[in-house]
Formats: sequence, C-alpha cells, structure tokens
Amino acid sequence: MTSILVSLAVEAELARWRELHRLRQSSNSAVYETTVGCTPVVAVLAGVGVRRVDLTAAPAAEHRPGASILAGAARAAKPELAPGDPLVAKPAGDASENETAWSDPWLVDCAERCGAKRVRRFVTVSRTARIRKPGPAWLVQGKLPRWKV
Amino acid sequence: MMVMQRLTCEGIPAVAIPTIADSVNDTVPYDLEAASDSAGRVRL
Repeated sequence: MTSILVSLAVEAELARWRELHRLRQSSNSAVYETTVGCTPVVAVLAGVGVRRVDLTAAPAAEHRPGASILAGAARAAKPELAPGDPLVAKPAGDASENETAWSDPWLVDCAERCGAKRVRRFVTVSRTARIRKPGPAWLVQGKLPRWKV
Repeated sequence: MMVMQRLTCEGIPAVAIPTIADSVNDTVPYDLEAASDSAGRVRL
C-alpha cells in the first residue's frame, strides 16, 4: 500500500507522534515507521537546513510515498493564529519572495478540508540568533501544543 | 522550502503543514539584542 512520509525537524515535534502511535525505529536511526488506520507512515526526524533535505530525500527515495507532509513548529504572524492551529498554504518562500516552493494543490485542499487553517504563504528564515534560556514553553516541555483539529 | 523543492523534483507530492507553537504576542525567544551592535545592525 502507498505510504505517507512525514518529515519533522526536532524531537519535540516527534513527541506527539510517540504518544499517539507505536513507532518502530528502522535501521536508520532517524526514520520511524507506523500505521495510521491502514496507511503505512514513515516519520523522519530530519533536523533543519540542508541536513533536513538529505535526511528526508533518502527515505523518500527508498519508500516512494504517495504523499509527503513537512510538519513542525511555526510562529504566528497574525493575532488570529493561536498555539495548536495547524496551517496550510500553497507557496512557501523566503522574506524576499525571490525563491518559492509550492505545496501540492490537492494535498493543500485535503489539509484544509481536515481542519488546517489556510494562510496566504509561509515565510522561512535561513538563520536565527541564539536562543535565550529557557526558550519557548513548548521547547522546554519537549512537545508541541496539541493540534486543535 | 528546500525539502519541498527536492521532493517535488522527485515526483513526490509534498505539503507543508506546520503547527503554531508561538502566538504573535509571545516574546520572541531569540536574543536579538545580543545579536545586534550599538547601531542596531545585526552583528555578523
């Protein structure tokens, strides 16, 4: 059966998956397998930056999933967005809008039908300054806010 | 963004679904003051 690949950046983002599903760690320590309903799911703890590209592409090439979800944490840019809100948008790009990637339109529609809030676009940044201790609550607790869906 | 571009190039449909972790009213968890110089420019 066609699988779904989920790419996550950090352990705190995988914590909810550990609560909800029995994850089997593959021989690649960054790759976990489970089933949701009848659908095989491959979850990849892929880190950030260029490393995330390579660590996601490798299991994608092996499993050839029918769809992939790039999940993780985001900071709200508008007051109507609250912790726990899942978001979806077609374009994602840097602040200059010079470079853009596009989510699959059919998957965007599916996500919206399942309760994700549609936003105009995602903005990514390539670097951050150092984190002040203790950091955001979700990072201290080791898990993201629960989805509101 | 790069991950999505790579997967799309390889013919695997991809969608980004992040979850809000910090509201717009939360204090930015990054020490931006420490990263800027006395003129307010980002120190490299």
